[in-house]
Amino acid sequence: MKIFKLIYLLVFGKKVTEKRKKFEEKNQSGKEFDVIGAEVQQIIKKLYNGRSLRIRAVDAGSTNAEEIELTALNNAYYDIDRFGLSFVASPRHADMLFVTGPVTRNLENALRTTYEAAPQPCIVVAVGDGACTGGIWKDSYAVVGAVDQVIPVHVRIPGDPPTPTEILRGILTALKTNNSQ
Amino acid sequence: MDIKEISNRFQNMTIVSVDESLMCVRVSREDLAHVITSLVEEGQAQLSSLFATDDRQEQGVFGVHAICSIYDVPQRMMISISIPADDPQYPSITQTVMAAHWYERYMRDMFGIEPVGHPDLRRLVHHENVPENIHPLRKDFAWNTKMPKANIAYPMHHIKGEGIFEIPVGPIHAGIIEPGHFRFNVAGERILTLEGKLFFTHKGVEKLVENKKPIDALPFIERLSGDMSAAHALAYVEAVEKIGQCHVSKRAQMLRAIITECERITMHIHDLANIGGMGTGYSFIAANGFRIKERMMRLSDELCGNRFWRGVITIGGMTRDWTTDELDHVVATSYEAWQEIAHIVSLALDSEGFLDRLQYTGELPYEAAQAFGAVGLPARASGVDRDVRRDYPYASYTDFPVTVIKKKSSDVFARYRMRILEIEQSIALIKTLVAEIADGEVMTSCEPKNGLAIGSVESWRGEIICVVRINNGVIDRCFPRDPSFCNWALFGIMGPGNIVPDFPLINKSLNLSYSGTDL
Repeated sequence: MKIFKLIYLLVFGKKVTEKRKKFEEKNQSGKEFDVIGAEVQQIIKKLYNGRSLRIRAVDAGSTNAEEIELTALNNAYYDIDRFGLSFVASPRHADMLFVTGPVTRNLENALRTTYEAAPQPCIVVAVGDGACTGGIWKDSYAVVGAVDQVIPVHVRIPGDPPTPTEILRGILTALKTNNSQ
Repeated sequence: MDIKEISNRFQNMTIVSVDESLMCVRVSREDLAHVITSLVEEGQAQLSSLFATDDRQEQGVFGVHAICSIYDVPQRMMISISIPADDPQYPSITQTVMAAHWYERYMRDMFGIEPVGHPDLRRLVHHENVPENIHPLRKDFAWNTKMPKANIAYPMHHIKGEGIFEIPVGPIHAGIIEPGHFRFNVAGERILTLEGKLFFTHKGVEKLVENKKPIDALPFIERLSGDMSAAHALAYVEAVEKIGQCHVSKRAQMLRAIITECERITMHIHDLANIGGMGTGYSFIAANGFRIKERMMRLSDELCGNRFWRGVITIGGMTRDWTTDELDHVVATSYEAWQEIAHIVSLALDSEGFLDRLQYTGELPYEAAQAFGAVGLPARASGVDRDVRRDYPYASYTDFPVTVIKKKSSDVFARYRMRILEIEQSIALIKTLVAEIADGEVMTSCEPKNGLAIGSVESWRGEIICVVRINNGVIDRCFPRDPSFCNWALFGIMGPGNIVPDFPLINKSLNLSYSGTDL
C-alpha cells in the first residue's frame, strides 16, 4: 500500500519547492551573486583546466557565525557548486583554505598542521574580521592573533561575519590575484 | 517550599540581601557542599551555575558562588563562601552533586581554587600549551599577557582490552563545523566510552570584558556564540538593567520577545534540516530546510541589518523600532516558513528508514538529565519540566506565558518532534505579541550602578545564566553560562551503546555551541 501512497504523493501531492518565477522575484539580491559566480566559474575553468576548485574550511577560533555563512553558500539560494566550487572534508583534497576566527592558542598547532597537509600551491583566505585582524579579541591572552601570524594569507575577506555574496567576491579577488601571478 | 524556610533550615546561613528574584546567602566554606547536596537530594533545587570571584583587593579573599534554582519559586538563591587567598581550597561539591563537575575544574584552571576531593582533577580549559600556575581570571593576571609555550600532558580516558580500539576525531572536523576533539573507545561499531576535549576556541572573553563599561562589553556578549546572539544579549542586558533598576518600556519588552522567538524559529528550522538531512543522509530535507532557513536569515537582515538577529537588543531597550507593517511582515514570513518546513518534515516522518535512525538513538534517561544538570530542549525531551520562560519570566513572558513542551521518550526522535512543536508555539506567540503590541518609546536611559545581578533567558538551546557584577561603573566580573556548558557532558551518557555513525546524529540533535562553552 505504501507504494500507492507514494505514487499518489508524486502525482497529486503539494509541490514543496518554489516556482522559479516566484523564487526569482524573492531573490532580487541574488542577481549580483550570479554575476560574480559566472566570472568565478570562467577563471576556475581556465586556471584548473576544466576541473573544479575545492575548498576546505578551518575554524581557528570563530564564533560559529562564519561557519553558518559558509554553510549557507551551499543552500539553494547560493548553491556555489554550480560555479565549480565545493567544500571538501580533508585539507589533502583542497586547493583553497578558508580560515575563520582569531587563531586561538589552543588551535594554533591544528591550523598549522592543516596547512601543511594541504597540497601546494594552496590559496589561504582569511574569512571574517577575527581572521583578518584578530577582531575584538586581538591581543587577548588566549589568542595568537590574525591568521597571517601563523600561516601565509593570500586574501582577506573582512566582515562580521561576511555575507555569502562578500565571500564569493573574496574568492573572485583571490583567483584574480592568483591568475595574474 | 519557600526560599525563607530553606534558609531557616540551615544553621550558620546568613542572609546578605534579598530582592524579588535573587536571595544572596553566605555559609562557611566547609558547609557549602553540605547545603547544596541537601537542597539537590531533597529535590528542592538544582545547581544552575557555579562561579568564582577574585575579591583579594577589597577583602583579601576569593569568593565561590553557587546559584541554585529553587523549584516552584520564581526566585534564585546565591550561596557564597569566602576562601582565604593564602589557602585557596574548599571541599568539592562534585562528590555528591554531579552537575558541579565542570564548573569546579573550570574554577581550578581560571582561579587556581582547589576543590578538595573532586574525582577528576584534570585540566579543562588549559590545553597542553598553557604553563603551570596560570590563572587568567585572577585580577593580577593582565588580559594581554603573552604566555610562553608549555607542553603539559592532557590525558584522556581509555579502555584497554582485546578488540577494543580508540578512534580520535577532531579538532578539525570533516564538515563546516566548530573545533572539538572526541575520543571513542569502541568494540566493533559499538561505542563503549566517549569523551570530549573542548575549549579549543577559548578566546578569554570573561577577561576581556573586565573593566569595560557595560555597554562596551555588549559586542563581546553578542559574539559568544554566533547563532544565539539575541538570547545572550538579552540575558546580559537583563542583568545590567536589574543592577541599574532600569524600567524598560512594555513595547521594548515585547519586541525583545519577538526577536528571541524569531531566533528560536530560525535555528530550530536549521536543526530540523540538519538532523534530518545531514544526520541521516536524507538530503531532500536538508536542501529544503536550509532554503527555508535562509529566508529567516534574510528576514533578520531586513529587520536588524545583519543576518544574525544581532545589534538590536541593548541596555535600556532596543536600538531601533519597527512599524506595524514591518511587524506584520515578520508574522507573515515566519508563518510561511513554518508552513513549508512542517510540510517537508511531515514527508520525512512518513519514511520508515528515517524513523529507524532517529528512534531509540541517543537516549538520555531522566535521572541522568537531572544529575548532570541538563538544561533546555534536551532536558525537556527527557521529561525534565523546566523552562525559564515559565519559571523565571523575563521580557514579556509574564503577560504572555508559554506552556512547557516536554516528552518522555528521550531519544533523538523526541528532540526532533520537540523542535517542531516549539516552532509552532513560537509562531503563535509572535502572532499574539504583534497583534497586542504596546505603543511607546523603545529606549530609556539606563545609568549603570554598582551591584550584582543575574539575567536568565531560555534561548533555543536552553537556559542561559549571565552573572554580572559592576563595580565603579565598570564590569568587575561577568560569567555568561551558555546552555552548552551544562549539556556537553551528556554525551558520556548518550553515546555509549550506540554505534559510531550515530554519534553525528546525536550531536546534531543537541547542536551544542563550542564557542559559547569555550568563552
